Amino acid sequence: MRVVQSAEDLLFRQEARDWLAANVPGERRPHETGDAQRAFDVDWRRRQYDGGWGHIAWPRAYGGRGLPVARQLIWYEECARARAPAYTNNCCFVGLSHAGPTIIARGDDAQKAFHLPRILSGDAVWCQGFSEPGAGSDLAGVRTRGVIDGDSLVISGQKIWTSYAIYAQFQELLIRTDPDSTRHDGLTFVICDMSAPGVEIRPIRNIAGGSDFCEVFYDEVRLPLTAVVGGVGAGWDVAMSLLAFERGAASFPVAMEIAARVEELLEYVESKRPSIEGAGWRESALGARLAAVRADAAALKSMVYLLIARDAGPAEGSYVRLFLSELEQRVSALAMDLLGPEGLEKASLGGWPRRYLDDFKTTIAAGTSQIQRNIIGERILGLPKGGARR
Amino acid sequence: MIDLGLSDDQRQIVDGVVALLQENCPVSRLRPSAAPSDVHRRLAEWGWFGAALPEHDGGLGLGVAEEVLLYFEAGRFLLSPSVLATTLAARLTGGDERKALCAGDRRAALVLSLGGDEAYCIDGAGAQVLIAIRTDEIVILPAEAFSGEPVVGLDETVALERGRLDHGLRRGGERTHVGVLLGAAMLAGVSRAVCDLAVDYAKVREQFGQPIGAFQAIKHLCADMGLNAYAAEAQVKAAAAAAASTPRDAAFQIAAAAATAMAAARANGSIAIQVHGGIGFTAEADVHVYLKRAHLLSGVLGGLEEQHRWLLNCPPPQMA
Ligand SMILES: Cc1cc2nc3c(=O)[nH]c(=O)nc-3n(C[C@H](O)[C@H](O)[C@H](O)COP(=O)(O)OP(=O)(O)OC[C@H]3O[C@@H](n4cnc5c(N)ncnc54)[C@H](O)[C@@H]3O)c2cc1C
Repeated sequence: MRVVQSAEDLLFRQEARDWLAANVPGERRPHETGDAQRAFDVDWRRRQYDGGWGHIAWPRAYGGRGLPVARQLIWYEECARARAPAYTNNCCFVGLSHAGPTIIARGDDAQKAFHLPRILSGDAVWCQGFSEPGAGSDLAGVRTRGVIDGDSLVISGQKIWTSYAIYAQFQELLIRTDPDSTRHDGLTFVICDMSAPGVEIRPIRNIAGGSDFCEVFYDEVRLPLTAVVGGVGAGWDVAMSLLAFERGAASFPVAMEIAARVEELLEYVESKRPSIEGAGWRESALGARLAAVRADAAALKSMVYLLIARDAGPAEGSYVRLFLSELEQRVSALAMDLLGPEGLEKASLGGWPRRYLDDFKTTIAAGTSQIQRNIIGERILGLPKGGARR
Repeated sequence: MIDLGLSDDQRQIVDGVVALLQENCPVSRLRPSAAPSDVHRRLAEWGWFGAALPEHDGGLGLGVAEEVLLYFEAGRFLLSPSVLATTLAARLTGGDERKALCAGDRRAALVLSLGGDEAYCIDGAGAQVLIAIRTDEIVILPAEAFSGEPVVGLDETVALERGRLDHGLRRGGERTHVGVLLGAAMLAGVSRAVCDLAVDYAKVREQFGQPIGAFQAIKHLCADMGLNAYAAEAQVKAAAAAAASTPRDAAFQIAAAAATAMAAARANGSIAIQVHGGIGFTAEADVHVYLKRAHLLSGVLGGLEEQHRWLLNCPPPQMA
């Protein structure tokens, strides 16, 4: 229980701050889905990679810096402070925050050597093919089939809600390879080359106006067996390690970003509110909500530190994930109320109204809030499973 | 970053304190039917009141981080706010008075201003010293500064008096947020303990042929309690770390801790009553005491709005 801040940490922080000051793009990320948006995300990734900031904690052999998690957090914090492009809402997110870590944990040497540097440099964009029309919260209901044919897997079926499928070269694909299996057995995790013949992608328009999540259809798509991660039949286990990253470490940069966003709202109110209703805004109901989210944002960061310190197994990430996703919605709902009538225009105040709409996804993607509460209840607090869920 | 792990020493301290409190202060001592008990002397013998004071003053020579861990447990075991008052009084005094406070020979009690010269005094019997916690200041007064009459308190496990406080008798104070920090730690402990109590109940109480914790409606209430307790513990520990080593950020982190812990304790106390059903509405069950204690401690710390005001006035923390 102490603040750890070595001389090296301070130097690292300064180095990060200087580099970011010189390199964070001046223009905003295009909000329309399309080539310009993809280029923006990939260019920013490339710039970080070329500058030596590809990844702070990944091993050097794969293009990371091999530094401890403390430095990683400093980097995220400085990125947030510098208002660098966000980690989520960025097509490199899937590769960085879960495909990469999963390959590091479960991949073979060839997979590591090929994929990890490409993820860091932005040469390869990834997407996640888990959900299907019939398998959302109940992921074990996956039905997309994979048939082993010689040294290939032949895949047929459909995925849905695949974020950034239109941008991606590779996909984390969860399929059923044992036709006689049900539920968790008989699944396989395979890296799908999105340019393989038989892959068809159809974007879906979302409530915020983007169309970066897609339906993906597979018509006898042939993938080499060498693309399987963790072995045929081990798919559920690999998918669970992936979800632990998605619900755990993937939250770290976002926690830093939320705190910075709350400060942004405070600055806005400081600059605007006094002229409207005098300096007494702090005493108003909106002032109280601002204070509450400021406290929550501080607590979220502290929860990240507690998660790291306790190292108590994958389920605890659900605390951070649940708190984070609901806090993001509270913050953007508050922004709407602060904006007043200007909230009726999507682009107001740097796009907060658009973000407000977009943030409805946070309690659905990566496991809904209800599923996170099930996990907390059963796997952290030890409550019995309900009758209907087996 | 902030390392929120405990050192081996800290772990030992927590284990020792939990054993002490389990033996001497089970929460059942607060039931209406239980015989009155006084744990002040036992705590003094353990070294509680001088935990963070130098050894030559009768203290244990620990730091504020360790003291926060003690107060988390104090919250879990629902120790009287007078314990906090005595710790703070020992910090503010010196010489023989400090030694007497550490030894348990003199005691302090908390007073809570109602505006003007009206105030409440909590568990004032036997106290020679009074403590008032303002967010950035702790005020110390002699017991004679307060004169009041008993009133029926929301939290019947403490004695509440209402009366007049003569601020003119004030003996100087200390400009520090540590009172709020330790109070926030107690609230975080309350949040955790009442969550555990309700979750344990949800595992054993059966209806419709299964434990009520298997029903998602109950499970999700429990998950919310777990989340609230986790957030409060995390932020209180981060604030303790800041208080110990980055004073510039301490005010922000402590206000955020107080706000988070107040909200968590209040919410968890309320949810836990619902999870218990009818028994949760009885005086004999322990669960209501946690909710009442959440209100009492929040009041002592100036209330949620006061902490929100503070937080809005702090610059953002420099380092996380
Ligand atoms: C913006 C966005 C991006 C996404 N990106 C991807 C992606 O890249 N790759 C991918 O594979 N998937 C992705 N998803 C899919 C996401 O993981 C699923 O939407 C999510 O798991 C919920 O599944 P569902 O949509 O089928 O809803 P359902 O599972 O049908 O849920 C509907 C409602 O029922 C509730 N519910 C379901 N089961 C339970 C239960 N056991 N207990 C209590 N309540 C329950 C849910 O909480 C929800 O409120 C994305 C989703 C969104 C919104």
